Amino acid sequence: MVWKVRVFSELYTAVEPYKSTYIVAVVENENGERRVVRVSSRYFGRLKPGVEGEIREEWTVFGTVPVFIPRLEEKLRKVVLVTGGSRGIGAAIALEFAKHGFDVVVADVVQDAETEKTLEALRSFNVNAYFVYMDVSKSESVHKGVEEAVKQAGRIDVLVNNAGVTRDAYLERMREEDWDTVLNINLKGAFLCSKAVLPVMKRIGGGVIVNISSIVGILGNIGQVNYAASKAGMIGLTKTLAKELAPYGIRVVAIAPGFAKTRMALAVPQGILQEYMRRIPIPRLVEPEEIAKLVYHVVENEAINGIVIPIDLGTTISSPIA
Amino acid sequence: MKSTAHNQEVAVIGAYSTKYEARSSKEAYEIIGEVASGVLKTVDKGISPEEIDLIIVSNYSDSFGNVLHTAPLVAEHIGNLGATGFRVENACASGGTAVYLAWKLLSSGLSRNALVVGFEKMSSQGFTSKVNEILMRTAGPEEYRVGAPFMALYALIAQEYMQRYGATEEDLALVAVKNHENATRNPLAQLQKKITVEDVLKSPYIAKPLKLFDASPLSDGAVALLLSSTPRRYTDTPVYIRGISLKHDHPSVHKRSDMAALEAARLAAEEAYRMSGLTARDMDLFEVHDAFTIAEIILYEMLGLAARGEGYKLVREGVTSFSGSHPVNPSGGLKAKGHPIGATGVGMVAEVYWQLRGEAGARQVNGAEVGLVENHGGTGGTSVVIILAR
Repeated sequence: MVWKVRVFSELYTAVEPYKSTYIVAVVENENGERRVVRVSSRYFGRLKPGVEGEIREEWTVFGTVPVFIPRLEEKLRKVVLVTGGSRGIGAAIALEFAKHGFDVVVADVVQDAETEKTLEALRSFNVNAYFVYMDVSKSESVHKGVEEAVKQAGRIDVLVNNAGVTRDAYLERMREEDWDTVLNINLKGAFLCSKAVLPVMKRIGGGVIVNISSIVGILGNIGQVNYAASKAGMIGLTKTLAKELAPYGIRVVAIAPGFAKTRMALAVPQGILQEYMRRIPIPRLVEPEEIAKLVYHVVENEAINGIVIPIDLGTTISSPIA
Repeated sequence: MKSTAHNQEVAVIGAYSTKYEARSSKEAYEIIGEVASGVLKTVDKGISPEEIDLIIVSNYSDSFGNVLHTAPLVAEHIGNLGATGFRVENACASGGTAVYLAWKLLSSGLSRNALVVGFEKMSSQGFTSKVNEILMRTAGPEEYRVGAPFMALYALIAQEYMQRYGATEEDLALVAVKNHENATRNPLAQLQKKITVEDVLKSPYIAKPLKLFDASPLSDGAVALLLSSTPRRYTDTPVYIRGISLKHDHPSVHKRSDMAALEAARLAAEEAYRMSGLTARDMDLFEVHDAFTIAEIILYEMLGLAARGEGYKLVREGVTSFSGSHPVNPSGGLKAKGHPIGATGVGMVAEVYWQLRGEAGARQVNGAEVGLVENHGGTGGTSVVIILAR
């Protein structure tokens, strides 16, 4: 039977015990019969009086609920925003999403030949690719960047907090500014970006935030007290936001890569890198593409939430030599 | 008149209210005790506890205050365990229902003097989402099943109304602005703070098209009233119940033939006007159930102040403002005075009682002699209308 939307209300506050937001609608059929139904929050901003659809009884642990499935023709273009997306792991993640039909916003503090190359590669997958300037450590810059991203791409379904830097030194030699720089970009940046995209994701009825943490945030690493603290901080951020934002249909997940084949890792003196490799079960570097595939997977797999997934060739199970 | 069974004239002879607050430092049983003892002292010529033979307590949920079995508690507080008492619940109309029942028992001669106590301590729930879950239980079963909180159901009513009659979100905002302005003159009000239309429009959507500032707050508070069938023994200026009615509608919004109406309120008003021989034009003030701004606009129409589909024009034109020809919610209403559910209807009657006795201080409506209370439950499944006069 065909039902038509008469009136509806988008809920922006979570309802217990369902811990979710959705649309409540009154629909009617041609005999003038009316029913009250629930509509998925993914139709936020797209439902209108008169839209036709059908009702399905959906089983939930809280009881069976009549759910209205609108017949909406328009195809959604999903959008991912990757901070630090110009190069390295960020660029690999951006490409993985483009491969799967996502429009991509690359947010970065640099826009150079490498950025252009990344954007070009993204567009070769027949998706829209945009660049926005963003210094993730500055609230104003993040807001401007997100605003610009929404202006260009229309929405943000996925945020990847990938931008990160290192300023390695032993504690005795570590300068306060090295601590501040790393914490501000890696941790505060993830906080500011999450905060800035929240209203956007609420408005479209959900989303996913993926935080690129590090194995170092779980294990610690000599000479990286700032970096390890920032990456451990991202784990706390992930677990807290996963709880806070779940009612809005937003999942938050952290990925903790081991040493990956990027400029950042290759800057580590070779002797140290080799010594490190000898301690892990599979002695090689993680490929950025492998990390990108995992990020895409956690976005697509809607059961993954609030956890830290190491992608580390077995680093977390390795036995210490020293 | 149809009410031949009701021989006794019933009047309010005393009223006492706590200030409505977001978070009272007192336990529910303490505020119940405060108002129960307090109201006895407000009777002009005095009343002894033994003269009170009926106690009715109004409370929406024991989840708001963590207390049940409150009638003997009240009896103990006033020092008369010989009184007969019980609790009533009719969603947000629990208070109006308690007054209705007291009137019924007094006017029929079954009781002589009634103590009505309404209370709610909503802050005993830590999370707003949990509060919503508790409130949602008043919805019709189908609406409860889809998980439609109060605000979503009022949003459906609002959308139906706005689509049909062309009212705007700004019109709804004007109700909030008016009632906040009124609350600045009421020391008992929870939100004694002026707001602007822009403040309302900028507040976040909770259930589109309704925003945070379209909703009444969550409140703690208690109110007590004394009603008597021999009022002149206790005061020379009683406030009589001249008309009273309690009516129902479908508890589910989607089952109503007109989703943009509050039919129970219309029917209750019609009966109360008939009983009193008065009309909307005769009322000096109205205290109505503006749990959400849209409700006040629709109530203008249900209570006969405006024609169907034209309620929103009254607030645009200032007709219902404090200085307008028909002040509505001079107390600040649920929107700004607050909405401690079980106390709300009782508090509305207390407010009109003070207004008609000229005791309303800065918010006094000059020369008020007749006033109307409308208190409804759920999304309008129950409505109580009470017309009071000196």
